[in-house]
Amino acid sequence: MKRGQLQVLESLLSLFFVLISVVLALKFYCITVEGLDIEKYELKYALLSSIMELDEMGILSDLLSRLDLSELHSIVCLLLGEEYEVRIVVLDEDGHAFSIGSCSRPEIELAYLTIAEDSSIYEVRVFARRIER
Amino acid sequence: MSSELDFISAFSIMLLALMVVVSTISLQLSHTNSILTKAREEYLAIRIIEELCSYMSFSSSINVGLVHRVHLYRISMSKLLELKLMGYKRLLKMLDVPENYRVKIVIEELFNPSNRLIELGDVDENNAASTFRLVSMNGEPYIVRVYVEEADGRL
Repeated sequence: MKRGQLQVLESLLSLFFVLISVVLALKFYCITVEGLDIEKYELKYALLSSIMELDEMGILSDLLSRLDLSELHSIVCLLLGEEYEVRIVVLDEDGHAFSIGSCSRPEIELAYLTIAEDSSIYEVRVFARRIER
Repeated sequence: MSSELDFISAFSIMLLALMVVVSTISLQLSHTNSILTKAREEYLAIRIIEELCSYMSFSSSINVGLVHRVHLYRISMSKLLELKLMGYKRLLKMLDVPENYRVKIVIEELFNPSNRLIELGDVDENNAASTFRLVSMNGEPYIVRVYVEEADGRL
């Protein structure tokens, strides 16, 4: 076999192996993203159902009319667990925003509209992100 | 002689590339296996909590938007007592939990999480897949938590 032919064969095979690696890496990435989405979707659902339950029981309305965000923040933190950082933003009908907690690059975002005991309309936005597991 | 050296050089490079690919594949497979295990655990946790809450609850669902439906759970004390009396093994059988999974079911007070009404099963809460639902019992809020861990599933 000539030297030129060998070099071509070598390059082609190396390229082939590299392509396989890239395809497998992409497949792995897709599985990872899909796997994580299950958890995020479920957490979002669980959080939404919890906030609705709190609203049904009158607890959310009571907290919002008193603007007791720290209590609301501690409830959400308790529900999600210690491994989540949580930020809650409450917007009233006059456009005032109240915020508690910090969350950079949130993975879960939830918006919930409700009427408090004082008949004011509030929008509660929850941002959460897993710190580490 | 020169062509033999070229052949050896090309063969060495290909062997090296093959080793890199094989190690990458094995690494990816192990990660994929770990992710799939976690996904299986999460799926089971969701199924268990939905069945458990539906079993204990007499509540309805609320439609959100066009397609989403969120369930709110009202749990009666008699159902809770029934659950307590049922026992762990019978409960797992009722929920049709596969034998190779360990499950922990906890019902705790929202405003006093250290007070647990029910704590069935033994699972490491930090490593297991978990989910929760807020439920109402006699007008008081409680959290139902389910932890699932696949036996020998974690890498």
